Amino acid sequence: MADDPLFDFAVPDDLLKEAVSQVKDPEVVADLDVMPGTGEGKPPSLVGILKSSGYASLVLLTAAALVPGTFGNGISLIGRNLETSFHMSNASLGAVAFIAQVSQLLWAVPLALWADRGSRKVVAGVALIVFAAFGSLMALSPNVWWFAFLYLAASVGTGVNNTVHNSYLSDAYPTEGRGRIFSWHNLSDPLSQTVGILIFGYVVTIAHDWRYGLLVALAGIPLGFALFTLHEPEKGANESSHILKASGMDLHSQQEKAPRVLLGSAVTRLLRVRSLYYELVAVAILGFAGTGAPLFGNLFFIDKFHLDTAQRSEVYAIIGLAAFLGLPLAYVFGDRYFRKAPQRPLVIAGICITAYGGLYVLSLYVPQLWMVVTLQFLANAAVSPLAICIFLTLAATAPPEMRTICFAMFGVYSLVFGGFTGSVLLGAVSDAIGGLHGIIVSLTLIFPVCAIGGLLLVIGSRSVRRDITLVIEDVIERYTEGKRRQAGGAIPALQVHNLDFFYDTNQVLFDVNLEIEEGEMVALLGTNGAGKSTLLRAVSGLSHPHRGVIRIFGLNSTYLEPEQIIDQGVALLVGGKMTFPGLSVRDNLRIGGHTLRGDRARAAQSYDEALEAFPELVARLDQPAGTLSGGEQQMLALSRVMMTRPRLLMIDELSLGLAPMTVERLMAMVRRINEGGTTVILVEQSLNRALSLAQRCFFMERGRIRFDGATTELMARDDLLRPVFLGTAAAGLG
Amino acid sequence: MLAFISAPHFVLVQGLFYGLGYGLLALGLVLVYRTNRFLNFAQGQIGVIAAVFLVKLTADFGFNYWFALVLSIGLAAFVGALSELILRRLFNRPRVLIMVATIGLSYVLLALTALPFIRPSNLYKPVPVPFDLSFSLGTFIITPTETLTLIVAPLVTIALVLAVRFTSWGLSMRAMSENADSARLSGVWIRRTSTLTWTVAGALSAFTAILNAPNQTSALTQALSPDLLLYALTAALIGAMVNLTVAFVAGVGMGLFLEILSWNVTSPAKQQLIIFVVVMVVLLVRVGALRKGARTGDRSTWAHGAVTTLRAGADQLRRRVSASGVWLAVVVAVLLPFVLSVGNNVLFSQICIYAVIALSLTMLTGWAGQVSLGQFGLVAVGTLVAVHLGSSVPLPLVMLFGGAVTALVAIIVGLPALRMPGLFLAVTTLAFAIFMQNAVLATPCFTLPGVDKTLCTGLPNPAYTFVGRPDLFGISLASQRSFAWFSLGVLLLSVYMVRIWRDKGVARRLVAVRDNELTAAAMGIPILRTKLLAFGLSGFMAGYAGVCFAFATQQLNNTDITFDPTTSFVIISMVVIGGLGSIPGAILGALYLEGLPAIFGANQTIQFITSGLGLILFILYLPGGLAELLHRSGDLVTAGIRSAHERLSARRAGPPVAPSGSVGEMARSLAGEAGEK
Repeated sequence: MADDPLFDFAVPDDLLKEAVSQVKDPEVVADLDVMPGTGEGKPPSLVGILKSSGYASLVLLTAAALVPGTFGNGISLIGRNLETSFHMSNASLGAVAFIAQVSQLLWAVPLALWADRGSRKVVAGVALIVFAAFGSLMALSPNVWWFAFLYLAASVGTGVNNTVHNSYLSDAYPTEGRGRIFSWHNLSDPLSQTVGILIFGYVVTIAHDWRYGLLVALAGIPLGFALFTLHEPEKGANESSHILKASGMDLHSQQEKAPRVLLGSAVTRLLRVRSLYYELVAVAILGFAGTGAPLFGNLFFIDKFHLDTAQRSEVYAIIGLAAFLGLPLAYVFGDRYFRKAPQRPLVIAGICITAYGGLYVLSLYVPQLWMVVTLQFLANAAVSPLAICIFLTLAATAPPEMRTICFAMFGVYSLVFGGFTGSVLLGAVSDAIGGLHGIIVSLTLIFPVCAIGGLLLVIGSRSVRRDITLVIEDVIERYTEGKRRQAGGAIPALQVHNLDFFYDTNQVLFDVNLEIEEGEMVALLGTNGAGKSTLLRAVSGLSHPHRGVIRIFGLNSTYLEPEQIIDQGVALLVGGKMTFPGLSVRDNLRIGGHTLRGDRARAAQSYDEALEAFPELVARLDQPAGTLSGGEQQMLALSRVMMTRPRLLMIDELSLGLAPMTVERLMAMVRRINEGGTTVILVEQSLNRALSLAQRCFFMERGRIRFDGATTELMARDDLLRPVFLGTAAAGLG
Repeated sequence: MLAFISAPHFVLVQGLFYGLGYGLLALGLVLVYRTNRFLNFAQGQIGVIAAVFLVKLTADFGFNYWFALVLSIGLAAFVGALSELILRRLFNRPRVLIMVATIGLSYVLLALTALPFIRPSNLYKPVPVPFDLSFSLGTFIITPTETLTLIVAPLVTIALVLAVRFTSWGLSMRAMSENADSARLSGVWIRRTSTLTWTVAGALSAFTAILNAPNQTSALTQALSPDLLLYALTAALIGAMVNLTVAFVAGVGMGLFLEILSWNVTSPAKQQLIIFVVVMVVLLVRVGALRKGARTGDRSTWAHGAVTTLRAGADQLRRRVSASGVWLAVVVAVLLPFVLSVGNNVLFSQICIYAVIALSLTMLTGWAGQVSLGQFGLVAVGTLVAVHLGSSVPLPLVMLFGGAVTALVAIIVGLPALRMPGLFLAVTTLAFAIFMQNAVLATPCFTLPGVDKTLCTGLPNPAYTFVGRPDLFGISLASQRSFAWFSLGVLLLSVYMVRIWRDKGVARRLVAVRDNELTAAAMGIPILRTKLLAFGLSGFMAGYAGVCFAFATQQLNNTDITFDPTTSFVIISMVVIGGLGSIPGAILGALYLEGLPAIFGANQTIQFITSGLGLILFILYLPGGLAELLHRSGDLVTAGIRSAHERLSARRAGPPVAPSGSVGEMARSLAGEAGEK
């Protein structure tokens, strides 16, 4: 039969319509008992957990968080002394504190990346020692510039408390006790504000010199070295053992190692965690309240109750004590609620933040000081379990090997978005209105903002189980892959597991699974809009899936960028879209050799080979590629792609809009490439061509793989082909 | 006439130095355009930070000059890279959005120069230059920095041209702008390439600012003036936005031309006229090269239209929700002047009029994809009509006439854009806005050359002109309350008109031409006429809005911020913040940008939040603007009503028919699976 493209492209109208109105699948959510940290009855006692996993990690890390915390609070205590010593104004002291806070953020992300790639105890220890060294040196600073510079370096120590520490603790102790472990560790915060600051103040008073207070930092050196003696827990070991046990899998089989985390990939993967998005917004709001409330609350106490510095610090001390009330609440209830329903802590966090906003704003409108203090005390008590609730959810929903980065994102959101915009916005409102009234009005804004944050958390809680499911699927996939390696056998060129893909809210790939052996030539068939191109884009890294795993020659490349995937020997050729029309043919080929730029000889050789394959290009080397004919452009594209000598070549519609003669030449070239050992995936609209090229094919329809097998077998499947390629084509071929 | 042109040496030398500055700025613009395909309006402002920081380091901290220089240029490079990282997520969005984001960025950068650790304690201190390179040319002494400029600027240019031509970065840059996906698949790290480009552009901007700085530190903390931007943009356009060498040379030429011009033509108004004409002519002449050089391939100005201009048809309930929302808003707006104070009624009229102006830009930029940075120049035309005819002609006629005149002007200004990508209209309109403020408004009367007739078109007294309010059909508009109602009426009428244009297919045609001229022409849409229609309609609206503006403001002058070209930036910000191409968006944008500062006081912080940081945040996180929020909440209300309705009818029908809760979901999913098989 004649190869008539008319048949190949005709699609019945009703089918198109159906394809457009795709049905949404119900979301995949794992059973509750597979989820780590859940179960029947009460969670195991903390003493038991500590006995089996050791006290040392928790005690040392809490102490390690306490020292920089005390140091930071101490500096605000001696602010007045600093001003007189260095002849500074209030504003410049504020600027120094601001710089320290910002640099803490700058440190957080690279440290988190290091921790996720390597050993967290080492990162925590090194950070603490660096902090101790620079922090104690600050005592010797001759002027404010030295002071600020050393402070900047010392802020490394505080940058790891809520990131590296939390990540370490998540793995060091069983999931069932996470809430309580986090609560103990978090106790360092109120402790540093009370006991820590008392010690600091005591040292300063006895020595009559603020410089001696800074020597508190020295405690970090032995602690830092002590951290090195801890054992480094395996990332995600608790989770995977629980998941595998619950899914009835053999625990002791060899597992594939977790891939090295890249920042870009980590961020892409973490953005797939839907609840995280809501948590980040809520944390930004918390930062908004957390920065704005103390800043303008201070003015409120001055203007309304005319409190002096000493009186205000008493008030803050009382309000600060509330954390000791709130943390036990998180301690008692966090794990229990998580055990029953993992989404519940986030709901509680939503209630907490709303309650905080309400109580705080109420406190602005009561007449007596004691009422204000009581209400603010209650507000602080209400908000203190919040962090624990969010940490719990986060530790469960983030993939274990990216947990530290995930925790680090929190600081960024809380300070940059919340803290910064919060203080500016509240300041603007309060300035605009002016006076005590202005302060009260601007602080009143905290309630609606908190209420919105609470609502967002409640909405986010609905995605928690689905997010945990993604983590579970990752674990199971890695386990299965490990087993397969153990069993021996060839590693497939391409594996796609449970792939879901969305464009905005439109799902275009549904649970796609396929495996292609090395050296195979397969055809990917299907109508327009079936998801073929999307699948290839996902494999090449141009877009990232929302669920599932892609492995290229065994390597998990799901969230890698195309610039990295090309190094794995993958090439994608999209018909009619691959050339750079404004660049000369020579430059087009130079780009083809871009990845070889370290190796001049090889680059030159592949350049010659490319021209050898299509000699007609030689005469046009200096012509812009856009002036070439469609066929020549496709040749240029193919030869350019071949310059990197890919092991897996994916071609999306090689024949698009080309003359049959040209197509034949290109096809012959592709066949030769395949014979050379390269695995080829060919997207085709034409059944004929698929039949002539590939023994094996996949047939896609509306985002799903409907057929996987020999091409000749597909020809017999009238039920699949008839509605798609019109009866005549299939019948004629059959 | 050419015989009259003369220029002593020092004028030429002065022009040369300015020109080198423009040339360097143009280089940065071209570089960013070549990589990312948009005009970066913050290009100059990045360098200003470096120049100010240099003064801080040398004057306040006593740093060594060379060390401080390296630090400052490093800071600008860092700021450039940081800007790229922030704007990166917009690179796939409509070019218009990201260009407006760079306007926001320049406001943020301006605020940064005021930070305590960047801003020097004494702004008026010139940078101490530690070397002596001065020499004299006749009576004119060339300062050391000028000598430095003379050496450094051409060297930098040559280095850049070579780098773009021969290095792997240059090749990557050219490849990614042609076809980003394809470049990525070849292993080109397009994000790194783009960050590197911005780093280089940042350093370049620092050179520009520092080399031009020594005698004008005080001016530098101000926003980079629109004039400077215009000259650099024109130079870049002469280089067709791709050719670095031509752009640089054109920049130098621009500097020489301007200096010679100001030496020979004393009247600033005439200078402005000539500059405007030259910019227009340059664009018209270079149109062919621009089309070729600025080829955007299949990535049009609006590629990946993330902004939904025309919403898909909604069901009846959703439409009803929208309609009731609109009516509620109208009723509230009509009642509002009763309760507002006099001052707030003034504000009310102002917001209404700004909303009309924003609507005129919604059509031009949102629908037709033509970026106008001079919409307020068009408003000024209408204002002038009102000033001259307002007292003698009935109000509706003045409005019609003002609209017609402005439409004509808009069409003339838009002429170069007929054959050019819509982004470049930004340059002519910017030139027009500057021309309107400095030449037309400032000149009460001028003599027509040749005919010897005097024409009075400008403000009768540029420093202070009072416009009395006329009556409307015998009703006095003198009170602020009645004028508030009048403005609201104009706004409602305008909305009604724009809605008709939208529904009757004008919008569809404009969008079609915007997205794909070739296909649109093939479908029988007359391209030329459609573009003219866009300019005409937009100009008409801006014109009668200008008439109303004159009567609302009453006290006019040309030095004020009112007619400053930056006001046009505010208008385009309104349209973007409201939601590009959306009718309610234009009104919401006006409410946000005019209303917020009025409520919270027009201090620096508010300005910063609304037009700087706010603008960027809006574009980054809410690309659909306030209109998107509005639509989403409409959807939410509809869903709520529907579910309430269902629950009610289910209760009426007796026991629930559909199983609910998790069991029901399971059943449904099972049914779905069965259906699949």
